[in-house]
Amino acid sequence: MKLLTYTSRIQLFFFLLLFGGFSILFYLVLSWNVLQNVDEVLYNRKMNLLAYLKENPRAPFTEDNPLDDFTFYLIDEEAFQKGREIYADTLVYEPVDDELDEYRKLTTHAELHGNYYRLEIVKPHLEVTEIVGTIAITLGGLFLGMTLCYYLSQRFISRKIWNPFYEMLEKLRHYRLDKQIPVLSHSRIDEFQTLRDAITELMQKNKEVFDSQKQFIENASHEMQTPLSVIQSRLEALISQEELTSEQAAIIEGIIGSTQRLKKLNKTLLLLSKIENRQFLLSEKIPVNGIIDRSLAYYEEQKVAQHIEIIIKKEDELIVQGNIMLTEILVQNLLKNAFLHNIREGKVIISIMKNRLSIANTGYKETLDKEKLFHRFYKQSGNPDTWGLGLAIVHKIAEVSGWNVSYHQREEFYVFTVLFE
Amino acid sequence: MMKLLIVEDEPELLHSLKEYASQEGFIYDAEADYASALERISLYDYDCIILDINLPDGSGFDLLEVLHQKDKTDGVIILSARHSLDDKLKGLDLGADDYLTKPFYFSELHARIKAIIRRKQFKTNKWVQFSNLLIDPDQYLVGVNDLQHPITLTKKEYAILTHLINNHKRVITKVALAEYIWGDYVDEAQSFDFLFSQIRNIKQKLKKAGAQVEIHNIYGVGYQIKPI
Repeated sequence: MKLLTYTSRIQLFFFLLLFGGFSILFYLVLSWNVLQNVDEVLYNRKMNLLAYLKENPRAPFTEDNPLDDFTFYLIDEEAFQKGREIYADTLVYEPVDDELDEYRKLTTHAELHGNYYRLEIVKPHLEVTEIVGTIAITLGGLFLGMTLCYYLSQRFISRKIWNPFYEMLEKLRHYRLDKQIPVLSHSRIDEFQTLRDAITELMQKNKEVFDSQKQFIENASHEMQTPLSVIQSRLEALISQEELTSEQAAIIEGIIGSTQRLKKLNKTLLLLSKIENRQFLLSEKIPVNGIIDRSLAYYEEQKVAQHIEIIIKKEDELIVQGNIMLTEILVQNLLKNAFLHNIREGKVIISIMKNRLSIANTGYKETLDKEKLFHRFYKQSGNPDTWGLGLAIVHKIAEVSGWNVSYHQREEFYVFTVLFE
Repeated sequence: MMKLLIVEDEPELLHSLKEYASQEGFIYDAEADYASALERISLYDYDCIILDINLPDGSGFDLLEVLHQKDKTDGVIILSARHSLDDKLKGLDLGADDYLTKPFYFSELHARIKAIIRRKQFKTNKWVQFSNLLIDPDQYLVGVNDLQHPITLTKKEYAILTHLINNHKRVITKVALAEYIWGDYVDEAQSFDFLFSQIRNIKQKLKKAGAQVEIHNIYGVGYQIKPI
């Protein structure tokens, strides 16, 4: 839900609540007021009537005269003693329009010329309905006007004032750490301006940290190259000496192996950071079929030793745009993977289509974790000679080249597919 | 006689390079900084310069530029800790003949130097002789005494044999040899096995052809070829 929609809804709800509350209050106050007035009129009428009847004892008042608005009922003394003055609403039948109409009735008691009477005076008070109608119309109109005003101002606000905010949001959504920091536009609204400054600063700091981290890995790897060269050359010199015992030779072999692993790791880290720095030209036209043919020459021995059957399905000439070296590394890593994790008398199936390359291999029938498969340093086998970086490199190369690499399992095959688009 | 200039600022590595050069019987000068190297190249001509890019007082690229301006034909092999394509392109653009990323194996360096020498001595002495083995690098042929009846070798066997012969003065570790042949394509542990059977095949073929050489397994760590 959009912020503006959300606030509008809440505000509308409170408007409604306020409107309802005030309508009721308004109604109550007004009708109370009207009643007060009517009651006052009734009271005055009673006082005037009784005063008149006291002065004119002869005046006929006990009969029910349809012309007047009062009726005297003769009562006994006991009833008179108990009686109290009551103002009440009552319905009176109106024969003219055959309806019960609303009246206000005052019931009181009086002593006239030695007799006790109950006196009832009625007054119509139809005004309440009218008042309610008036209130409803005025308040309804007011509410409608307010809603309209509110809607229009909201639209205006969302168009004008919130614009920089939405723009910021859009830019942030597309922001990537390894890309340029987006330029956010200024706003006249203080809060947005503060937000803009804060975000820009945050992005800059993030970028600095990211860059320095990247730089650190790169520099560290570079710095390691020379000492590694020294170790390697000294080891080569050492092994050329003639008076080594077999124990010493075994130790040196161990060191040579570890140095080699370190060297490869270093090389891989450098490659990764270089890919991330986008130091490669990506506009070369690369015939993938040729790369496959050349690469497969390296796996002759493996094919023979493990009786692996290589099936190549060439449906089309696959020519992609990218970097030759990176594409070779990608193919190399996928093939290496397919052979390394294969079984005796297994298969490697390479399918080359118009815009797709897929390499499938048989394996040990474990299920691979699709999520983590392309993560750095993730490996499922316990092989100490691998780093779990091969597929991470494949993924990175595909990412910078605008390709898509995916993995799925089909029957006994582990299938890696690169979609070139 | 080959004349080499070695420019490398890391003392240990410079030491190793000097050792290598004297072992191979090269005449060499060695410098550890840009200024002295510049002086050397303006005074003398070299057949091959082994050049480190990052020097304390300058860049190897500047030296390349100077060589280029002076129209010197010295062959140059760049050594760099920067495994960067830009560097490579820049180096080769400025007239470097080859490029090696640290850390490198001396057998690999030697192969590159040999290639430069071969290119320089294109007309003369094209064939390589080792004991009674004769090699024609242009046609990838190996024969005993003559090339009339060459030994049938697979591509990889040929590569291993010539690499061993080129580096016959030193032990080539299994790791270095495997990397030379299979690069990053094959897992190391597996490539050792393949290497073992390749070497076995080469030995058999050499013996059958009557070659007077022997491939020695040195402590199980590396190989070295020696004349019998």
